[in-house]
Order: sequence, then C-alpha cells, then structure tokens
Amino acid sequence: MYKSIMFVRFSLSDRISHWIFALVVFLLAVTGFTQMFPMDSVSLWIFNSFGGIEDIRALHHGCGFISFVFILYLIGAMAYQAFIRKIPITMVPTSEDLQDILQAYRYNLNATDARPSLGRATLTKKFIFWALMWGSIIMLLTGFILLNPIVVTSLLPGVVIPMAKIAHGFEALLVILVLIIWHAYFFLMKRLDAMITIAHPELKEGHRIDHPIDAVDLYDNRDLRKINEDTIETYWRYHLPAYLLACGALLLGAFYFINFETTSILTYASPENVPVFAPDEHIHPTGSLSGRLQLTTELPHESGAINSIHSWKSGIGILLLTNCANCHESEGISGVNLRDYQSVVDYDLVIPGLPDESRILTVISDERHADRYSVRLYDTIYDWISSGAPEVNIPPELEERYSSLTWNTDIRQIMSDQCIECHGSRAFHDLDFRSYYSTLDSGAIVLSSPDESPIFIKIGAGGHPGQFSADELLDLHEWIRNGAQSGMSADEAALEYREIQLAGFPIAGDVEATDMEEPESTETEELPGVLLTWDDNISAIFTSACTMCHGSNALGGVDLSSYEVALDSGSIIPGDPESSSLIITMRSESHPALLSAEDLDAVIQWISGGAPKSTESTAGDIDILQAPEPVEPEDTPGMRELWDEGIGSIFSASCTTCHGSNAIGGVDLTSYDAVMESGSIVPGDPAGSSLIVLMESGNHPALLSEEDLAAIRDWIIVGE
Amino acid sequence: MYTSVNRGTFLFHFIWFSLALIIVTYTSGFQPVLGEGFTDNEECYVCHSNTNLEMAFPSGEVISIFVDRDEYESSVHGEQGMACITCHAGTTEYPHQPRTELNYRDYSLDLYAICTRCHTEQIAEIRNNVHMVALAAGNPNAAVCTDCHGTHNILCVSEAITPMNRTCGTCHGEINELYELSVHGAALIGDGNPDVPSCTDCHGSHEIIGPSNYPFHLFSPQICGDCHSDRDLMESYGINPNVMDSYVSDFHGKTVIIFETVASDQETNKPVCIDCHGVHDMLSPEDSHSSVLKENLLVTCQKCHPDASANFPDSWLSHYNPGPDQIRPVFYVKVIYWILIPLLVGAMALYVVSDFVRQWLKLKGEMKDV
Repeated sequence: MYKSIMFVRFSLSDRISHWIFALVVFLLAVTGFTQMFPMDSVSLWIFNSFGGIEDIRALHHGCGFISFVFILYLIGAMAYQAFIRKIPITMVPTSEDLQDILQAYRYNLNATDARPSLGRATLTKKFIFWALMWGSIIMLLTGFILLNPIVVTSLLPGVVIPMAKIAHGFEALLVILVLIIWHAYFFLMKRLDAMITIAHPELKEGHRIDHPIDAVDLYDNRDLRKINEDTIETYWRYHLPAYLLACGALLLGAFYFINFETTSILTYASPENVPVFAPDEHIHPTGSLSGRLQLTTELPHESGAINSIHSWKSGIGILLLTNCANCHESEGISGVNLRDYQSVVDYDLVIPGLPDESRILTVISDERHADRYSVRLYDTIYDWISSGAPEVNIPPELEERYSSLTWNTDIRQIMSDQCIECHGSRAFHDLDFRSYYSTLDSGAIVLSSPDESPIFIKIGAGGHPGQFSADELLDLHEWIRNGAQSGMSADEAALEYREIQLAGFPIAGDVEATDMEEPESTETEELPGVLLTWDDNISAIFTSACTMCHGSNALGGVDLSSYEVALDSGSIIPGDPESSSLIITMRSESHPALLSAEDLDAVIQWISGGAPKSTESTAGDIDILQAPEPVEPEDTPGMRELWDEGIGSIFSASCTTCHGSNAIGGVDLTSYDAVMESGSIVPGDPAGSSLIVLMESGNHPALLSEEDLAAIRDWIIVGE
Repeated sequence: MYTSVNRGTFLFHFIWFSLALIIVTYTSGFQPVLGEGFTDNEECYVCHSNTNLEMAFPSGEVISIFVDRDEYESSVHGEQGMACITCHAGTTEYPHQPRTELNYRDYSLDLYAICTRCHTEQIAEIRNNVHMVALAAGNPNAAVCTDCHGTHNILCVSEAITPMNRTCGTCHGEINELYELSVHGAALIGDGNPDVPSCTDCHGSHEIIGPSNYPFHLFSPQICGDCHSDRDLMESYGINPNVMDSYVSDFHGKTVIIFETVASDQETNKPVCIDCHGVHDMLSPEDSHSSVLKENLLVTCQKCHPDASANFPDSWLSHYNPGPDQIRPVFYVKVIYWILIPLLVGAMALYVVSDFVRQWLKLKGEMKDV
C-alpha cells in the first residue's frame, strides 16, 4: 500500500542546518580535544598546521558562536513547526518511550517478536536529539563561564570556573561518544540512506518498518497540514518579526558572549620593576676609589636605618660629612654645602618631617647623581627627616652611653684598629694616636668641638686612605663633644705616654720628654747654630716619614734608611740644601707625602751644616764619602757639547719617562742643565755620581745597557 | 729594555720558565702568551708590593695598583706559578708603556681580553651571553670576566667563598637586595642551605641569557620545575611536589607548554611561576607578604585581570587536585560524569549490540528460508 511513495523527508533548511552543525561539532571536537590533550602528537600536528594555540582557540570560540546561533535557529524552527504548521512535536519524550525502550531491548534480544510502535521520531532519533540538545546547552553554558570568568565570578563563587572546566571537558567527551556509537551505527552502518542529503528519498519498506505510526500518519493526514492563508498572514505579521527580534537580541548576546571580556587577552603580567644595573658604589665608583672603599663596606646594601642615629649631632652630620662633603662642601659641586646643619636646612636640602620633598633624598635616589648610596644610608636619612630632622636629639639612654665614652674604655681601641698603623710609631704627619696625651697633643681634635676637629675635616675631605665605620665615627664624635675624657688617672695617662716613648720614636724632635706630667713640653724648637746630626735628629725624621717607600724598597732608586745610602742616593748634597733634590722635591710639594715644616727646616739645617753623621764628624769630616763640593751649575762646554752630540739622546730614550716632567724622586733628566741641577752627576767623578752608582748597583727599576752606561761614564770623566 | 743580568743566568731562567710553562700548558689546556723582558714576578713585586702605589686616569680616578703577594699566590693562577706578564703582557719593561685608557672601566675592558687567550672554551660560552651583547652594543658597564671572577684573587669556583648572589650583586645590587629577602636568598645567606637556587642556577653562568632577548619568561617554569618536581627534595621540606603537574593541567600552564613546544620563539601573556610568586623577591606562600597568600592573591590576579573581584582568586585551585577532602564541588562534578558517562555509553553500547544481534539473527533466518 505504501510502496513508491515519494515525499520530502527533511526540508532543505533541515538538511543545510544538519551539515553546518555537523561541521561545527567536528571543528569544536577537534579544537577542543587538542587543548585537552595538548602534548599528543596529533594535537601538536594540528597546532603546527593551523597557526598555533591562539588560532585554534579562536576557531573553537568561533564554532561555539555558530553553534549558539544554530541553537537559536533550531528553537525558531521548532516553534514554526509547532505553532504555524501545527505539526505534532514528535521529539518530546513521552511515557511510552520508556516502554518502547524496554520493548526494543526485548525485541532485539529475541524475547519478543513485537516491535515497539514508533512514530516519526524513533527512539534512537529522540535519544540523539536530546543528547545533543542537552550537550549543547551544557557546552554553551560552561563555555560562556570559561570565556568570561571575571563577570561570572562577580556573581558566583570562584569555584564555578574549575567546575565548568571539568564539565566542559567531560560533556564534550560524552557528546562525541554518543555521536560515534549511536549516530555512526544507526545512520551510517546499519542503513546508509541519503535522506539527510537528498530531497526526495523513496519511502522505502524500511521506513514503514521503522516508523509504522509515522508512515500511516504521513500518508493519511497529508492534506490536513496544508497551511491556510490566515495562518500565513499571521506568520508574516507577528510571528516572524517577533522571532527576528528575539534572534537579533540573542545574536547581540552571542556577540557579547565572544567579546565580553578582553582583560586577560590584552594584559600582560607586569615585570619586576627593579633597575637591572645598580652597582655597589664601592665597586663602580665615579670618583676616587681610595677613601670610599672602606666606608661603603661599613654601610652595606641593607635596608633598614641605623637605629642609633637620631640627630645631626649624633650621626647624620658625620654620615653626610664622610659620604657627601668630599664634593659638597662650602661652595662645592652644585653649590650644595652638606657640611653644616644650618646650610642643609636653609637650602631646603632637608625639609624637616617631609622626607619625600627633601632634595637630599630625591637627588641621591636619582640615577643621574654621580654616586648612588646604599639603601641603609638612604633609610637612615629618611628616618631622621621623618622625625623632624633634629639637630640635637639624643635619647637619654644613648646620651648616657656617649657621656661615658672615654679614651681608656673605647677610643684607644678605635685608634688602635684604624689609625696607629700610620699614626703610631711612624707618626705620619706628626700624628701619634697611640696614647691619650699624644692624641691631644697632635692637634687633630678640638675639645668639645668635633665638627671643627681636623680629624673629621680630614676624613670628610676624601682621599684619606683609611676610614672609620659609622659606629666608630659616632663614638669618636661624641667622645670629643663630651670633652674627650681619658678615663684614667694622670699617672696612668703619663705611664701610657711613657710606654709609647719606649716602644718607638714617635715624633721628630720629641725625644726627651722627661716630664711626664707635662707632656705638652715636648716641642723642640730648632735653634739657629745648633749642629744637627744624622744619628741624633735626622735619622728619626727619615725613619718616620720616608723609609716606608724610600727604605729597602728604594722607590725611585732613593734609599734613606741609613746615612751612607742616603748620601749615596744623590738626593742630598752636603752643604748645599738648595741643590739637594730632596729639598727641591719637598718644596715643590709634588711628592705624595711631605715633611712637616719643622722637620723640613731640621733637614735643611742638617744639610747646610754638611750633613754630618754624628757630632764627631763635622761638615768637613765626611771624607769617607768624598762629599763633593756643591755643583756649580755653570756651563761645562765639553760635557754640554757631548750632551748635544749623543749623550742627551741616551737620557731621553731611557730615563725621561720617569725622570722627565714627572721628576720621580725629584730627579729631572730632560736637559743638560736639569741633569746638572739634579745632583745625580758629579762632573769628573763617575764613582761619586749617584746615577752611575745606582746603575751599577742594579737596584734601579730600569737599567741602562752596558754600552750606554760606559758612554755616560766616559762623559762624566770629561768633567768640564 | 736592557738588562744587566748576564746571559747565562738569563738563559737558565728562560729554560726553567719555558719548561714550567710547557707543563702548565699541557696539563691545563692553557696557552699563555709571554712577553719579553720581565719574567720573574719578584721584579714586579719590587714596586707593586708597595701598598701606597697608585695609578691615576685622565678621568681623575685613582686606583691602587698594590698587589697582595699572598693573595695572588694562593689564587688559582698564582698556585700554578703564572707570571704577572702572562696577563700584563704589555708591562714587560720598566718604565711600562703608558696606558691609553681614559678611565678605570676602559682599563678593565681592555685587560679582560687577555683572558680570551687561554680560556677559549669559556669564551665560546660567553660569546652570545647577555653581557657580551650589551658590551657589543656599547654598554661599558656590562660584566666581563674579571668583574665576576676577580683579578689577582681568582679562586676555583669550588673554593669560592663569596656567595654567588653577592658576586652578581656587585652590579645588580637592587635585584640582589630583593633576592636576599626572598625565601631562597634567606635560606642561602641565613642558613647556608645549598639546595636553594642562587643566580646562576636559574640564569646560567657563562651562557647566561637575559630575560629581554630570549623567551626566558616562557621557559622559566622548567627552571622552577627542575627542583619543584623533585619529589624527594620537595617532601624533605614539606613542599607540595605536584605544583608543576597542577600548573600544566590548568589553563595558564597548558597554554605555556603549548607555546614552549610549538612556538618557542613567541611570548605568551599567560603567567608563569614568577608572575604570581614574584621574581627575585618570591616568598614562602605562608609568608604574610607573599603575593600568593590567599589574602594577597586578588592583587596578584589583578595584575593581568584588573577587573577581577573578590571571588575570582577561588577559581585557581592553588596547585591542589580536587578530592573528597579538598575542593569538593569540583570533585563532585567529576564524580557525576564518572557515573554518567559509563552509564549512558554502556546503555547505548548494549542497545547497539542487541540491535546488531537482532539484525544478525534476522539475516540468518532469511538465509535459512532461502
């Protein structure tokens, strides 16, 4: 009866939408599972072939958008079928379906021969329809949550996001399994028909068997479903505009769905905001290395202020003095004076209570400032300004400690640690800090006025080889401010002083300090006419001031460690201080270390008196050395001519790098006159010429060749 | 230039020193280049043992050129008896050739090139490192050999007494300050703990690559993972050893490993370990200042998600896997699907099988009829 009935099984729109949705689901599955299993070789191939994860992700979101649109279309189409065309909604699950399921199982297992009475939507189709509908809703919902976590968590708890992520993945797996097992078996394997592809399949016997109710219904009631004109008019007038309006709103929603959140797409985690190159200042100094080296090791890169510093007087002043005053003293660099409290405050370098507006901090934290100081120094100054930048404000407990500082208990140790290597037995610059009395005598400290004490001025001026630590500076400062107490009885102090006298000769001219109660009387005025000798006077001066370099090292070829070698060095011409290179050098002040005025006068007086070794040997009694007469810088034509003819070129090739304008050791060998004035040549007497003596001794850093030395020796013999 | 040392003595010293040099060369792989003139360090010590010896540059910088004999002789080069002139090849005569550098830094940059003569392997390693690139680009502050290893006091790395971060900190002072406050730095400096990473453990040493010229950021999780995936090491400190697995299973980590695998030349804005935990200043997650402490996490999330609200941080599972004891809502979703999927798929499979059986029986019957 039903043979060869031709009818439209799926409309064109049904067929197009099916295949679009099939493609979308396929793409969603591929792009989704590559993200779920990113390290799988297939996934990696897909990432590499289709532009990487971001493009795959964009494709996934795009397909999600299309499936959302498809769901809208499906709802509209179903509404059209149900309400306009009045076709029964066959996909709605009914109670009969459950019976049909059981019946189907029984039939399949051959328990009964009665097939379930299925309508147009068979059990399998209903199942696949609702599986996909349910799956689509879950996927779209969880997809929206994953795509817009910010807005979702503004309304729902944060845990919804990982829940959605889990559900999205599992639901996708379920949908794909359903499609593979169910759809593939029933519609591809079991009965490959083309109803979903071509328009007019023949109503085959198979359809009658699978859909007994639907087949009857289709055939018998085909006239009832013809749409009348009123319905069409209603459709065009009301239903379609309402549907389009709803679709438009929902499409806007879908667009929103994709583009709602962009923050996590466009933002980037802010990197660590720390300057990469921030050297310790003692490693990459911009100024002198010496002087700052030790200080900065006492102020390491530690955050946190030095707690013991509370006021200008109790530390800030010293910190600025030692760190800044090298450049920023009176009329210093940038016109900034950081030496005294008043100028610091007057020029707004420090605004009490407002550290962030104080120029001192804004400048040193600026990379353009020549030196960058430690965080600890910065924090210390910051805390001081924050607390109102007091000039004098020492907490009672610290004041008690500072007022109890004494030489005996505190300061001697500091001096011993930091000073006495040079300012001890060597008494550099006449300073001996080994005892309380010698320290007071040195003039380095001004009682009760630490900021006027030369010891601080010198340290702050920069260039001093040694430096105190911040704590040592503070203790020393407060000790002086509180009157530089000895912490000893007068006898003990005198004993201390006597001990250093015995330990080593401290200060030139300070030999016989017999009255220990009055050590101030140690000054020795060199009276005119008094004969000074090496043994009694000069040896001590040279030992304390010169022999560190001009001892066994014989820097510049000059050795002043004993009487004989001192005269051998050529730097002393007995009886003629004005020609002695030692005196010339000291007066020129080009030498790194200089003798005190008293010591220099003593040496001049000694040389004038013939540079005697002892009182037994007088100016005319130093024949062991055959001391020459003072060299007259007169023209000696023979030697001058020879100089011009070749001797001069030996000197310029071999000597003048050091003994040129540098005049190392006070010896200038650039010209004939300079050579003669240098005292290193004694015309007519090569053996008495210090130049020859030095070269032959081999002690000089650079040595002449035998030929050159012989030429000079012959030149000296000419004599005139 | 001229010496009064007699030729026999000179020849003796020359042969002795040459033999020593050949031994050193063959045993260490070094290829020292000798100058002429001074061969004995004693000649150098005559002047350079003077603690006051200084050298001035036109820039006004004054440096000490005192050489501590003990320090040098206990250094790796001094122990092998290397001559001063091996490195100071231009100072074989007195007076020395005048230096032409304008400042101390230029002097250092000129002198470090001497290292390249012997340490060819190391030079190949540093050739493209971040410091050399910066130096080639004209940045004189870029570190060269001597800035890290020292000069006269060079020790074997195994004998070095200065913690690595302090060495790097001489130039990278502020970064080092952050590091020393971090959980790693505090353990290294405070406790001397050898398990924590110092600078070179993450950045490399000679082949050091800068975060700015390579996707260092992208691959940085692998650096962290080297230690933090070591189960024995982590459990000995009571640290969760699953941090890498949980990171990679989440959205951020998954994206990062995909980029590492298929697009290693590109950066992604997905966060890596250091974006949340901090770079050099990372603290223990229990520390009250930690960027990943629950109370501080919102601020951390807002670095990338500026509109994030207070609920948002809970979307991150803090490196934990959902289970019956923790993060239960997520666990329950899993359980639902663990039940639903086998049930539905099983029912479907059963139906398909039964249908297939029916069709097969039917076919068999028809065949029988025929």
